[in-house]
Amino acid sequence: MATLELSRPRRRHGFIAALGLAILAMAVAPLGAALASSPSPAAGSPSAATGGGVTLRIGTSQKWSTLNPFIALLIADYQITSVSYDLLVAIGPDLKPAPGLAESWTHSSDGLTWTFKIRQGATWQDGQPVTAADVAFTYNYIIDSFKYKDGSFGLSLFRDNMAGITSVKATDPQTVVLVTDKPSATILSAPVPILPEHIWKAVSYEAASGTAKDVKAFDNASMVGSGPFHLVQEVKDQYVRFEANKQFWGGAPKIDQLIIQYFPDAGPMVEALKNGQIDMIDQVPTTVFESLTNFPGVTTIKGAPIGFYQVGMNSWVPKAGQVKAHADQGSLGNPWLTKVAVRQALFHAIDKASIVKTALLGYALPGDSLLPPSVPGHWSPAADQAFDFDPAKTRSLLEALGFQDTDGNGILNVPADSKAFDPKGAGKDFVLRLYIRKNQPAELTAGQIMVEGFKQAGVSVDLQVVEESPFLANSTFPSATNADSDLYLWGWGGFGPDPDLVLGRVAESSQINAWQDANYSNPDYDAMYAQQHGQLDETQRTAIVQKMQELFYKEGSYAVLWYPYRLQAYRSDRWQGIKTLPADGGVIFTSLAYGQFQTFLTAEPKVAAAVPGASAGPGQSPAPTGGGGAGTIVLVGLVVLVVVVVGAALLYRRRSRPELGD
Amino acid sequence: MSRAYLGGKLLHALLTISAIMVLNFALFRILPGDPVRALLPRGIPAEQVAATRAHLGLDQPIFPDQFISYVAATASGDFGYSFQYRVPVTTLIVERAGPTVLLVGTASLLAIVIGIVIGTLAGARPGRWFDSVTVAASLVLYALPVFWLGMIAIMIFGQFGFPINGMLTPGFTPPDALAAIGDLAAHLFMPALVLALALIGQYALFMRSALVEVMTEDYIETARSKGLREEQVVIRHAVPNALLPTVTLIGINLGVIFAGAITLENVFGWPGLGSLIVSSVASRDYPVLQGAFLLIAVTVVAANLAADLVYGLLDPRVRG
Repeated sequence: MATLELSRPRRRHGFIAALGLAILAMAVAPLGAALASSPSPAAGSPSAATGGGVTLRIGTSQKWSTLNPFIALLIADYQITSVSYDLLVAIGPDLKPAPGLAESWTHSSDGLTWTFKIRQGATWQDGQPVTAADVAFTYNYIIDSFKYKDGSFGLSLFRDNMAGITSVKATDPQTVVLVTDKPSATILSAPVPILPEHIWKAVSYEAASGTAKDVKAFDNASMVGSGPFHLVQEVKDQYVRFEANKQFWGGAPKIDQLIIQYFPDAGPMVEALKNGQIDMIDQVPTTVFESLTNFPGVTTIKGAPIGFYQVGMNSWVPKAGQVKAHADQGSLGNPWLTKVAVRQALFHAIDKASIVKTALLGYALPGDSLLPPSVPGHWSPAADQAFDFDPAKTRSLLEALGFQDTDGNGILNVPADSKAFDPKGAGKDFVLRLYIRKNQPAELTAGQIMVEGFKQAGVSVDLQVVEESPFLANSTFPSATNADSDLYLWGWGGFGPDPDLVLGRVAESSQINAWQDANYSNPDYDAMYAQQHGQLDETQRTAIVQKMQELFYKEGSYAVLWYPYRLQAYRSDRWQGIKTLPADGGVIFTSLAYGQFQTFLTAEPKVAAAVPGASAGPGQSPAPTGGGGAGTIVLVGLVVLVVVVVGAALLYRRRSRPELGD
Repeated sequence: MSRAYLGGKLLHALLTISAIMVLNFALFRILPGDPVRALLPRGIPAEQVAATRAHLGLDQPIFPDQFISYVAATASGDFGYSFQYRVPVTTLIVERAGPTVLLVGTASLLAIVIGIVIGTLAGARPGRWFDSVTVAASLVLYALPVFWLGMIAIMIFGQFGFPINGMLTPGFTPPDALAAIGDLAAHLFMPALVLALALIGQYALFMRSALVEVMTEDYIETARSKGLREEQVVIRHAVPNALLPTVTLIGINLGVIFAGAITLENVFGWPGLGSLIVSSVASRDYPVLQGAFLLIAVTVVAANLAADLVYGLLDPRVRG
């Protein structure tokens, strides 16, 4: 072969390389040219012109599901409605009821009649005045929805908040009178966004409840509220954009525009904060929180927990009317979990400290009762009441109930004489299923720690990773699946500071087939729930609320595992006037902050950073130069690429020459 | 190209698509889970759940009622309405297919051109340093997970102001068309580069090994003994034959690329079909899944058909 090649000098290798280069250049050139020609505003200082003046950009890794406040489910949904709407009574910096659209309020001595004074000068974002009639309309719109077609289109999200309200009337443009049939302690804590009557009176219940067949059903894309920001653009699954409502009754925001951008992956979101493409992020992953804390120009926020994660134990004992399908089957959960003594034994097999340390990397507090420690009215068990991690105790408590390791495999066997109570399990190994949500690494680790603890106690756990929606939602819902679950790891959050909603939805009997997932039913608990609901005296109410927590801690169907810190971060080298809610130990971006209590009202760029290109100080993070810089980089990259390829081609030719002479 | 060859290929493609259509229907309904429960908040009365079920047509028996209406609707080009977005599936898919085609198209074009050039240069002279280096680099690129490459790209290029997330800058109203294209290109840069990098290795390796094999054939020797220069031998005689497997790969790859784009779109928040599929699986949005998978299936079948036809042009022997 070599001899044949000898006579033919190879000139056209250069041609191949040139051809390749030409094609490559053609493919890349438009991209490079476009980049080089146009400075992109993607990054830059807060005042970078994006057509809307000073812009605050927030990154979030939870995707909002709707703009319609009646079907809002996720914290991300409430974060959108909370910047745009007002509540009648807002949540103040101390988490106590504070003026919202109502400037002040009083109730009659019997606690049945509430009178609200609506503030003067509040306007809707379309310019119309906000009056008492709008407030009355909003409440009546929800209350009447449960009468429409037998409640089949009821606005269920707020049903608990409306319980007991018999009438809501606007007696003059500035006064709303609300009457209840029994005293209610939760009147001031209803998270009901006040809606403009002139828009919502035309919205059908089918549309508002999100069940309309009509595709063009009301999506509330032209949201009109009375809050400090007006929604101007929604790009599904990408971002929502608000413009400042300069007429806001609480004063004009100092920024002109607010953008909430969705990042499907938290990793890139953190990078975007570091590079200054966004100014603030929510839900910082625990794995990067510490490094972000040390990043120049970034301030991290470790907000006190307002929610909890639990291992639920399916306690469903079917009652009349609860079984809608397969009435002959009864509960499909493990029957032993309906026994308080068994649940108490199992509580000792959970190593909460180790879960917090290993699964949460310490970014959580170990859990006990239903209310997190920072929420008013929290109760904690005394040292001698606590279910400490002690698998040997679990084993001895179970053995006292008749469980025995009869086959010597290390797993306790269900009592053989319990055929009537547990026909499927009697005599066999005690095995419980544990559902863990998919894509939740921390929960998976927590699950594995639990499996280990249960194993030491002689209980076998079958850990299954499942989809939260709809699998977990269904399996904890008796009328869908006959409550086909044993243990599951799940969480609650996003409640306001009032304990009523969480205490009710988690464990009150009437919430079975509604909000409950463990299907717990205890008449004592239900009675106390009703009592606290009607108790207007705060001290007395707190006493009942604490008793409920104690009861549920000792006999309930949850082991509350941990209270997660809320981790956020923002660019403190560029922004000032940032405040948290609650003022002490809270977070900056929260669905609890309405109206005048939002940080976006006071947030403003730092002066040094307002000049494009001016770094906030030596050693600070590099101020990105925007897409113009990006274009330059592309050009430089292209040149380097060309040089490398040409060089390689030349080298290749030179290398091949000596061979020619062989 | 004979009419029988063309007809046979077309019939085959049609049969495949019909089978996929049926499979599509069954597949998503076998998944455990109820879209209605995924759609509605908890705490909803049973009557309301039932009403929603009826509105979505899910109260009908899966077979034959739901199946027949699915086939009838799909055949007439109606893919129904998305449960979660509440808009026609066709609108949604057209809206989301654009970004994916842009991303996958740009990346594929880059990867095919560069990959084939590298593969040709390497395969023409196997064993040389260029060959060794490119083979090693190609193997590494081929093996790396796309999302990891994506994170690395973000760490490197993010510092220079390249947009990390989305397709357009939120709230940016471009003063002119050029600025709009520039903004789009800046957002496209990282995901397209990463996807192209991930694909180049494959094309280069394929092209190289095909070329190496072709170069050992007798007719190459014949071409050489005719007195042709080595470049002419490679370009006119070896490359066209070596392209055959690579063309097939391009066809097969289209489906794989869509799959790769799913993870990539997730990293870069690229609003394409991939992110649509991910959120639709989570909420059991059957109509969207059916539509999206059918579209992908049709794309793959069409690409394979095109590959078969190009094959026929490149290689007279398969024309039949």
